[in-house]
Amino acid sequence: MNNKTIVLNGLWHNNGALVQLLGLCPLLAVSSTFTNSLALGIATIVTILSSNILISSLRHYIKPEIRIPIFILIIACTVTTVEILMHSLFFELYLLLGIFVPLIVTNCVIIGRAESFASKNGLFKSILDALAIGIGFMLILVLLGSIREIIGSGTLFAQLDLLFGNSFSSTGLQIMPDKTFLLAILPPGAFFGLAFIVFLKNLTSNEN
Amino acid sequence: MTKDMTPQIMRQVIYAMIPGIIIMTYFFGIGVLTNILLSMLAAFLWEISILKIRKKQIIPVINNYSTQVTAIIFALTIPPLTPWWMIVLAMFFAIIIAKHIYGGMGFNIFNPAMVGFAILMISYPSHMTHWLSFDNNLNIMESLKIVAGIVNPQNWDALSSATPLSHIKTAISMGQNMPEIIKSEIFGEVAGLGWEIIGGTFFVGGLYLLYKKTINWLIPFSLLAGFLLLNVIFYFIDNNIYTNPLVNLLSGSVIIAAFYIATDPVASPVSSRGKILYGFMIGSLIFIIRTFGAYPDGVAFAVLLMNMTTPTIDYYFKNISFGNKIKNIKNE
Repeated sequence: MNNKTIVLNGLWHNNGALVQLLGLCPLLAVSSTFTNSLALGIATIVTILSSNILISSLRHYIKPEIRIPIFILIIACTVTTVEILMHSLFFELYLLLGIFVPLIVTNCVIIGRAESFASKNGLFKSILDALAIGIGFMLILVLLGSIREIIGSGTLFAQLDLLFGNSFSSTGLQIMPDKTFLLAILPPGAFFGLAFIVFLKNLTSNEN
Repeated sequence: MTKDMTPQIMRQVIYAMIPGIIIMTYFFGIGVLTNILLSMLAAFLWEISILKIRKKQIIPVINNYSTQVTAIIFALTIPPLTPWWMIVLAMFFAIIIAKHIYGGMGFNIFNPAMVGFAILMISYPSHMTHWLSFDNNLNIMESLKIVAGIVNPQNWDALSSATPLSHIKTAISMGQNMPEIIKSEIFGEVAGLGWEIIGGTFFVGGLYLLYKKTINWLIPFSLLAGFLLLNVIFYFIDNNIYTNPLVNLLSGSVIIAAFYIATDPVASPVSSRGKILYGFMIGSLIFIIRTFGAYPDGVAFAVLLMNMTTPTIDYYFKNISFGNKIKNIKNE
C-alpha cells in the first residue's frame, strides 16, 4: 500500500465515519454545533495519532496473544492525557463536551486503526494513516456539526472563542436565527443528518 | 376478491371524517380548511416528486386515496392556520422519510401522518400547543396572512389560547387542583368547550366506519378501554390531580386516534389478539404520556411507539387458520 492510497483511503474511500461507520457515538452525540465538532475532532486526531505512533513503534514487543488489552491500555493513556490537557487549556469547552472526551477511548476508529494498521506497519505509514483517518473523521464531524448548527440554531461558528480565544466572537455568524428547525440539534437530527451524508457519499461512489 | 380494496376503504375514511371537519370549521374558522388544503397540496407535491425519482407510476398511488387520508389526518391534528412552511416540512417527513424510504405505500413501519405531527411537535412545541380560540374574529385576509407566514406567530398570542389539555398540564404544575381547573371558561359541559362536540362528531364518524366494516372494531375499542381503564383507576386514587376520564377522553385527539389513526391497516398488527394488545397499549400510553410526560397530548408518540412493536406483536400472535391448533412458536 503506497502513501497515496493510505491518504485517499483515510479521507474518502475508507472514511471512518462514512464507510466503516465507526465511532458513531461521539459523532452523533457531540455534533450539535461546529465548535463542539471541531473540538472533539481535534481531540480524536491527537488521540489516534499518539496511539498509532506508540503502537507502531512498540509493535515488535507486543505479544499477539495479549495485543488487544495492551492497545486499550495505550489508547486509554493517550485519551487521559488529552482529557487532562483539555481540562487545563480549554476548561469551558471541556465542560461543554463533558463525558464525550473520556469516551473517545471507546471510539472504534482508534482501536480499529491500531489493530488493522499500526500493529502491522512502520512508523511513517502509521502516522500518515492516523492523520488521514483522523482528518477524514473530523471533516465529517465538522460537516455534520455545521449542518445541524445552521438548521437547528440558525448560526455558524458560535462559541468559537472557547476554542481559539477571545479574538473570535462567541455569537458566530447569524445565518437564519429566526427560522430554526429544532429537530436538527436534537438526537434525531444527528441520525437524519448522518444518513443524508452517507447517502450522498454512496451516490457519488456508485456513479464512479 | 382480487380487486384492490384500498381506494374504497380510504374513501370511506374520508367520508367519515367530513362531519367532524365541518364541525371543526364551525368552531375554529377557515384555518381548518387551509390546513387540509395545504397538507393535500404538500403531500401531492412530495408524493409525485418521490414517485418520479423512484420511477414508479403516479396515477395508481394518487387514485388509491392513501396520500389524501394521510394529509387530512395530519391536518386535523395540527392547530388551525398553521403556516404553510411548517406543513410542507412535516409532509416532507411524512411522505418521503416515513413512507417512501421504507418502500412506499403498504411498507411503512410508522404512521406517516403521526411522523409529520411528531416532527412539528418536537420542533415547534409552543406553536403546536396553542390553538386559535373559538371567538377569534379573524377575517379571511388576516387568516391567509397568518398561513402565508407574513404575520409573525408571536403576534397572534392574543388570538390563540392553550388547548384544554395543555391548560390542565400548566395548571397542575402550578399547584391548582382538578375541580378548580375544570371551572375555567375553556371547559364546557363535559370537556373542553367545543372539543366535546368535535370529539363526539368524530366518534359518530367512527361508528359509521364500524358499521360499514371499513375498520376492525378491536383496535378502537381496546384503545378506548386501555385509555379509560387507566384513567378511571387514577381518577379514583386522587381526583385532585388526575383528570376526569370524560374530560380527558373528549378534549384531545383520543377519538381521532382510536378510529382513524391507530386503525391504519399498514402499521397495525394482523391477528385479533395482536390488535387487542396493540390498541390497549396505545390507549394506556396516551394516558401515561399525557399525565406523566412533558407533552400535553401523547397520541402521536403512543402510536409511533406501538407501530415499532407491530412486527414483534405479529410474530408472537399469529392468526390461527381454521382447523389448526395453536402451535408453540419455538417448534416452527
